[in-house]
Amino acid sequence: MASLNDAPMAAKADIVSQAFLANKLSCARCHDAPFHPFRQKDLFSMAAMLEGDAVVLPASSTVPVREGGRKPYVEITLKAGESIDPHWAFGEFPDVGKLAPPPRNTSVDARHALASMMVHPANHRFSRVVANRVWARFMGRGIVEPLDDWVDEEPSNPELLEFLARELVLSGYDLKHLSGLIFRSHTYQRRPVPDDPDSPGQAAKLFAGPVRRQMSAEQLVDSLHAVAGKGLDSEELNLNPLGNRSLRQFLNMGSPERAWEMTALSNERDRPSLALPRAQAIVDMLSAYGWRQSRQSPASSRDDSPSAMQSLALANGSTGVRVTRLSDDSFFTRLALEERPLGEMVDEVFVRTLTRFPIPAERQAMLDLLGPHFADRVATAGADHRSGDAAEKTDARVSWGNHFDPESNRIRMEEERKVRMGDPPTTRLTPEFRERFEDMVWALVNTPEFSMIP
Amino acid sequence: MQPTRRDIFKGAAAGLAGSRLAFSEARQPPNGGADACIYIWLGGGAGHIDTFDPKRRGDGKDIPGSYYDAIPTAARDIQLCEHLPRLADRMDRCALLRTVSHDVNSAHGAASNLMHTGRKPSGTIIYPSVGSLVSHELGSKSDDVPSYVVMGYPNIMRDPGFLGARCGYVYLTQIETGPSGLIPAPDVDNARQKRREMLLGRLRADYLARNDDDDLVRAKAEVSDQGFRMAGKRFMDVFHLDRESSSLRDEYGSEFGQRCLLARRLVQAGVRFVEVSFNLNFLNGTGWDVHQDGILKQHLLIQDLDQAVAALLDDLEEHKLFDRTMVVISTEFGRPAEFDAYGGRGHQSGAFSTLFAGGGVRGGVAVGTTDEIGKRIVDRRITVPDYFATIFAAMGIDSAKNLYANDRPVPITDHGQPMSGILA
Repeated sequence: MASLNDAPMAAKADIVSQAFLANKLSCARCHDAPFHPFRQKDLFSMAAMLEGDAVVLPASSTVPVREGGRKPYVEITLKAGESIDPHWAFGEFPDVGKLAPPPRNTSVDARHALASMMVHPANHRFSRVVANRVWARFMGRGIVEPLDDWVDEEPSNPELLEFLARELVLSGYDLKHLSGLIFRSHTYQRRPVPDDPDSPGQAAKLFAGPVRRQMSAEQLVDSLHAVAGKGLDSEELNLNPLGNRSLRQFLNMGSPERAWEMTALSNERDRPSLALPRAQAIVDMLSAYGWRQSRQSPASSRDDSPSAMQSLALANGSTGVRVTRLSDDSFFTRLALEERPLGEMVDEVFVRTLTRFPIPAERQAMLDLLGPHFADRVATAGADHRSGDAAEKTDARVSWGNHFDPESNRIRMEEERKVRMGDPPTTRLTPEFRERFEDMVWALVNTPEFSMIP
Repeated sequence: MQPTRRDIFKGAAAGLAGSRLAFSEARQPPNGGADACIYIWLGGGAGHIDTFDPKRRGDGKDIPGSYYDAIPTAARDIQLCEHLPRLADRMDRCALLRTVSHDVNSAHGAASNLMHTGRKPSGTIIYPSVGSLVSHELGSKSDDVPSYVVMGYPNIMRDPGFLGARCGYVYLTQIETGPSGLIPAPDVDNARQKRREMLLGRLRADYLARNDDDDLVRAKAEVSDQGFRMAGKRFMDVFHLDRESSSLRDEYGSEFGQRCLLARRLVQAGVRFVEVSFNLNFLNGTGWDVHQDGILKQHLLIQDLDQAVAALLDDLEEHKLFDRTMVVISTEFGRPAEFDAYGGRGHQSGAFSTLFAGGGVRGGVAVGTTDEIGKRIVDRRITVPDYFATIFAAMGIDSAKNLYANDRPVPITDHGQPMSGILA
């Protein structure tokens, strides 16, 4: 069912509808939706808008009904092979529906029509859905939940949602304006409100304050790197770095600078020569926190409850090793080399990692840790090794064409080992001081406070 | 309380299934009594005709057939390839599945995914792997060990799909480096780790004290304690293969053999599902994907497999783990009797072999028959859902049970039925 990408525009239409209209059409992929007011035709007419032409329902996207067989539980009103014209499917927004119908046979125009209908000020649904998503991102919970499926859900505060939606439209869809409104609100600035066991969910639902939650996988990975002042340093996401084969065969997903840009690494043949060890270290961390190696069904929310593997991935995984290592390109190395009193340095590390100053007991613990080695921390013989040679980092000797070669395996397994060792430590600080400083940073990023919002 | 949509759907599904339920209760799926599974993965597509389903000899050019001679085994009427002498001696403890069949013939990735999830990918859902499903259904035997471990590269086919990260795995790509994430960084010795945990303990205690009314913070602290126990000495000791006698290590043989030994130690420690991939050291240049001249040294792979798995079966018996550990040898497809221009072989998904042993599986049986060159199925086609349903049945898991991807009911297998004649 709906297998092997048999109707790509239908898949995209579902994503677009969920993202911008909170209309979940997934069930309509293969039959009429049993719990939503959507027919299969609705999804495919949106798919036709994306396609810019009529689309045909593939046999693999319908439920086969055998003559005399069991009557399916779901309703089926489209037949395989039927052709469906482009059409805005959500009649409940009459103003939008009255806009010029999308012209056929020109995919650009039909998509433009879809886009302009989507963001038309008369399309109140769009502005409310987007405002709700922004609110949820900063407050930890939407005014309407779930964010992507509003079929029978009511806003917990309709006036607030209307206000935010109107501000979004009036500001010319300026997300920064909307964010600023939220940040400046009393509600946002309150301390998070714990749940009342007698009426679970109520405190959060009525926004007595923001809802505490864990950072998402991407937020955590990006925060860790931001704290250390280091880039992701992933390999180019491409199994043919020589670039001598067509893009149709070898996608090049580029060099990610932010965690959301990571993709599946697809080493399904277990070949060390096809591994991308630095990208893998990031993917390991992301996966422990619920990221999936697949974009085929983007999700508005994930199971974000804490797990044992998350703590381990952060404490011991290669990403954690790299981020906490005082190498020459680390922010912390530069800080430790400055001519400043130790107490100030400790303060700055706390502000950078936990966005607050240490309480006296915490500051004292760190002074006890670092104090004895502070005066002699600078190693006289050390040199700055920051000028890393890019070619040294990505070994382009290994490519698809020679990945069977045992030498390719050897090279990549060596890279794997290097990644496990982390960035080379700076030699400008004494090992005694450096290790203690690293231990402080390690403890700060591993305390639950680091990965919680707020 | 108002019923949620899911409640309604569950009720409806139960009503629908009512008549079938009575039927399936009448013939209870057999329960092999396994509580752990070792899934040996021959990535690349191991040719049945050169391993578990030997036929008349071919000539490496025009006459299709096996590349090697066949030898008799401890089971009457069952022959194996000559490079599997140790498994031949142990066939009375193994069941062969000689007619596994599907239609994903060209792409390794898609076929491997099918032979891990039991389903073709869909546009609306990401299916979990067999390891994640077992992990989800049986959970961990102990809080201190993970339930699912992979020796191989992380990949979507091994992933938990809609079950979420909780049903994910711990993995390792090299035995000597140990599992990714579980072991402190190489430059952190015991003393330093103690120092770190002491600092962390202090920061954490303050934070917990300030937020002791918050369920999420408490939950986070609890699972992180569990994590540190998992990274503790008890579980980490499992990875020290040097605790085993050198004679036993020699019996297991190659690097792949050492992986199998580690698999036994993991099961012993309480891990539910261990996948051991065998395609890493390219003894023959191509692994099991023996196109062209990859076939010339294919026998080295087969001999390696023979030695390691035979040692594993014996060792499991020695430790009284055999009857409750299901060993599976699996692959994405087989290979045809015909040869390519260089004497190698292409792909064949329409009929190929896998092997079950232990965990209550009947020994000395071969299910299904292929024709005289292993090409077509003569008797009893084994579908992928039935194949997985049998593994689940051996582990006491109801393969028809619905799991939920959001509101959508998704049975553990796609209407698979446990095969008769395999589970005792």
